[in-house]
Amino acid sequence: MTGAPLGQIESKDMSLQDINAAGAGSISLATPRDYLLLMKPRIIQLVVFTAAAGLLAAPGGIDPVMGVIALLAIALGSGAAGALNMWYDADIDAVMSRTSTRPIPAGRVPRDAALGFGLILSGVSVLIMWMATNTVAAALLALSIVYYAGIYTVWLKRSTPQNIVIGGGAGAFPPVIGWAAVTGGTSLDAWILFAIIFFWTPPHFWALSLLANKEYARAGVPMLPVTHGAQATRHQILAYTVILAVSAALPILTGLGGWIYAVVSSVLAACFMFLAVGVLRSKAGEDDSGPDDRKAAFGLFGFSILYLFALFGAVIVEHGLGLHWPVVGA
Amino acid sequence: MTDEPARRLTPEEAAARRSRNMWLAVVILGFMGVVMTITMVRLSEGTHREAEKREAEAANSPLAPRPKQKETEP
Repeated sequence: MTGAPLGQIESKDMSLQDINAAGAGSISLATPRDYLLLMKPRIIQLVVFTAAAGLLAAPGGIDPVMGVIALLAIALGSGAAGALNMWYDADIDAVMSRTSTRPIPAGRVPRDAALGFGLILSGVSVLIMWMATNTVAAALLALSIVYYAGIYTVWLKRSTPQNIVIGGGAGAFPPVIGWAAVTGGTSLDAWILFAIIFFWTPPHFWALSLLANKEYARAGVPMLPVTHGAQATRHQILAYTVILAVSAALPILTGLGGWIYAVVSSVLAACFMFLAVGVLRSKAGEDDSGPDDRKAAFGLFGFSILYLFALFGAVIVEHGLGLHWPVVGA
Repeated sequence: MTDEPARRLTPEEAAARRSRNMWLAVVILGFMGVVMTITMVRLSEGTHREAEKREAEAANSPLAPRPKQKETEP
């Protein structure tokens, strides 16, 4: 597949006026479940998990009740950012089959209600974080919401194929926020955890976008496979996988990761690399790609989720269960 | 004030509204619970810190009872 220049990508979108008009003058049939879906609950799971790793790995300690409340605030903040993302992206969500059943394009939640919900939830999450922990953690949570809803959703997503690379920073904040909730500040180890998620995001999303590149093109989103073609994307996936493997090894050198982490991260890195090479050698994203090519891309996408859970799970097990035996400086 | 008569809600609309209101009440109560919990934990932390401070001050005070010296036999 050849890439199309940015200027040629035009969204055949359902206009925002159409979406707004759909709900006008009627009483909403939205259920609480619709509002829960606005918060992107699957992303919240990953966010809370990585935040818990930062919280447990941080030196010192936090009252367990306050720790749980801090995680609740992070979950609410993530949900708020998700709702604001769905509010802004309602037009392109309506065009793509993967997202067309979301509450706003499906006409179940009015767009304005989603905006109000997202803003109120943002304020409440930051307030709870500030009350339960400290100003630094609350400020980082506020920054992460602004980063995802403002910098990624409003600015980058529709304007550059680097949207996922730079936007990945938004999802990388949770372990740093968890760390700050305990210590009142950040450290090199916290930012290493940030870097791991930051470099994990591009191969994760690009594997998915190889499967949905036509939909992204139709929606006018300049994802890398749309603008630079599938082959360039497969190369970038491998390049970021190498950088990810290096970043994931850094906690072993700083002492944050012990023997369990070292074994888990090495095995996971080898598997990730193997799957990324498989995607590189496939025709995933090309017009003439077959089921095996799509399977390779989908396999990498699925594994990348498992990768992050397992890697941060190792941090949680080592620091949460007292099984941390440093590899370096023991 | 408008002259338009109020529209009767359909059973689906009424059920959806009732469900939303019920969950809104649960969420507000949950928020109150979180704020109350934070306040209780903060208060207990403050009380502990105050008690530790008082103990430390008392230990350093010249009026603090000194440990008994061992009596030596004449």
